[in-house]
Amino acid sequence: MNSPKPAPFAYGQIDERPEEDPGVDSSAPLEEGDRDTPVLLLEDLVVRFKSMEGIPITAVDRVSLRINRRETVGLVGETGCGKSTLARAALKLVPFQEGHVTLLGHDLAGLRNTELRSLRRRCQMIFQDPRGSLNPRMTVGRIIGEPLRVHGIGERREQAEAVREMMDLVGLPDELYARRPVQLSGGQQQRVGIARALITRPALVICDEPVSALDVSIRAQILNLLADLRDSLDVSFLFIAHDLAVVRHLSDRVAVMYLGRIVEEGPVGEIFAQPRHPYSQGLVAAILRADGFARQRLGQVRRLAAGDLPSLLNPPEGCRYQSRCPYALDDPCRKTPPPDFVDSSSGVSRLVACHRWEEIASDSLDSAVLGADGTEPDISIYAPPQGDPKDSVEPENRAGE
Amino acid sequence: MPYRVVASERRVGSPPIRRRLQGLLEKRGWWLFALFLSLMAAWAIFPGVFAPYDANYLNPRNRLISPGGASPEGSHIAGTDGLGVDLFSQMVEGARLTLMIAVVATLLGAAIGVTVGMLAGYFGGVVDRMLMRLGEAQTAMPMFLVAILLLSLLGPSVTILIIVLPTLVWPIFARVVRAETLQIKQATYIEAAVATGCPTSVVLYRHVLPNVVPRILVLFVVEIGHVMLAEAGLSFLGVGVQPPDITWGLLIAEGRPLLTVAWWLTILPGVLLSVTVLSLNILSRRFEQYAGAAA
Repeated sequence: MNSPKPAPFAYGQIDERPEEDPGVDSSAPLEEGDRDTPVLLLEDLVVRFKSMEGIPITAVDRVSLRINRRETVGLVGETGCGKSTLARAALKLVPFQEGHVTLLGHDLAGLRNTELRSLRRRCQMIFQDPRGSLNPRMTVGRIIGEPLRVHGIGERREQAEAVREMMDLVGLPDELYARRPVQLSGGQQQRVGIARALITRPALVICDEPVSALDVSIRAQILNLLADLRDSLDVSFLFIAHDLAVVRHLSDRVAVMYLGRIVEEGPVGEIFAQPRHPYSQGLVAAILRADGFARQRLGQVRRLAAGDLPSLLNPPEGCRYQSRCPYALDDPCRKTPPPDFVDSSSGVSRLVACHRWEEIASDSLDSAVLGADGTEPDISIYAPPQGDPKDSVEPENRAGE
Repeated sequence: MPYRVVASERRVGSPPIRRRLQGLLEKRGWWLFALFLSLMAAWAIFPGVFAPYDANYLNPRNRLISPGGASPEGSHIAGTDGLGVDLFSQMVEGARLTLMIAVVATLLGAAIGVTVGMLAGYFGGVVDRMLMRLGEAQTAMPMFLVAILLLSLLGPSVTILIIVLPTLVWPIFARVVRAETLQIKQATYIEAAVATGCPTSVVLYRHVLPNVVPRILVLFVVEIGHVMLAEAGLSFLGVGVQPPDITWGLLIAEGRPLLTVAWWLTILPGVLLSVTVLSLNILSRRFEQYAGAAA
């Protein structure tokens, strides 16, 4: 099966390739574990920053997440909830304070810098701002080939060949090879970013809102491209977005993040069909509202998250969502943070961090909204402070912003 | 609410004559200065082609001929000095050392400044504070006087001059490059480079440096002028270039005692120096516009 001169970059053949390909893996100093080793494992990850005034901010608070091989996990939440920080901490682009990150079987805490760098060859990232993520002084060919040069993969000619192959794979015409990023359209720029991320044959690609800066028409193209790549390559994706429709299109599993914590996690179909956490319900409702039926239903239930994300400087006591949650009770919601309830009854495990998830998920929604004593809940906390009441049910297809 | 048009306070009429002249020089006339600089470069590279006489040939019988005058050997466009040496030939001959010292010293200063500035800007923290305090401490010292001191202690020579002059300019480069690096460091493409696995040296060399180059280029051209003036000053004071080497600054110094009888010996090299520095400044402005348009 090993030809004398292996072509390490032939993407089309990737699935026929033997697991231990000498052309690529011999240069990799790190072992990656077997197929069952998760590509990324976060355990109780905590990331803190210091604000300008020196006040510590916990951007990511005890988050655990597992991404298996060839699995695409969507991470959703409002802008500012810590999604991007989580992604950067997972690649050690920002330091984390507590917990463990295990990338391809390697605990990041124990790695030296050189080991970390060679590990990064297998874990790439696609950024939100396509233009900003490309060095304006480099040509497209050089940008895409940069990871190969940095890791010393292949000869110069092979690299150029690999770049052209990669360009073809992501749908970039060959004549763009010598162009500079400013000469490309937004969609082309993002394709360059994708090509650069995939050229080293990574095991994990973290996409940090890869389509939110693009026009709607281009967005669909890029999403389809990512879906194709996901299906044809041996790669896992961590897909960050604040647009749930985008995540639903691509992900196998979804994790919903709120104010630095994962509040719900589970298979994509189940999360979208039956969200258990009130915040996820709000998010899912927000995308469904495009169709009239759903809008009507939500007009009755009114369980959308309104108002702004509370400040990380001063997070609410108890459950972090209680300040916006229509179901919140004084006890326990406003007193103690909810534990992570893991439910494996249906075969696959689902996680939800809510004291009242069982009541809320059951059919007695209205009584849950009305509260145990049957009184009207105070809806002012999640209705807009002023203006036409119908504003609160106007469609808005985004979870955040 | 209807908009209310607020009358602009700026006058619509023609701008003041000084601004107009400046604008004209930069927009239309810049190629004249480029041409002038190319001529100076040509003087420096092929002095034999342009100099009518040997710049070291002295003939006391031809001393102090005023510009345009003639001697039995021929005409002297720029006159002759107290020893009867043709001034124009000396000016052509002096271009080489003048430009060479200025360019090499500025290059050295830029290399130091760019390195320091990039390191300080990229790493920040302690490295930044130490490096930049060093630059500030140096800026606070009257470096020209220190240069005079050093040159008098070490003995004036072209080599020492080329070592001393960069210390005058590197903090300027360091400051500009640091500021630029601070900005570039925030760019996503730097994060992308780190995420890809670039070691810090590659990040600095391949991703930061090419993006500060346009700014350095502009500064570099201006600083050549400054260094040229500094060299002229040091040579004028007698601690710079020594005869029989010739630079424009040295020519000015040598003409000074004869200023009352032979004005051309100081004025003509002085004008040459001034126009060269002016040309460098105007060209740098031109570069700046290009760099701004490219970014």
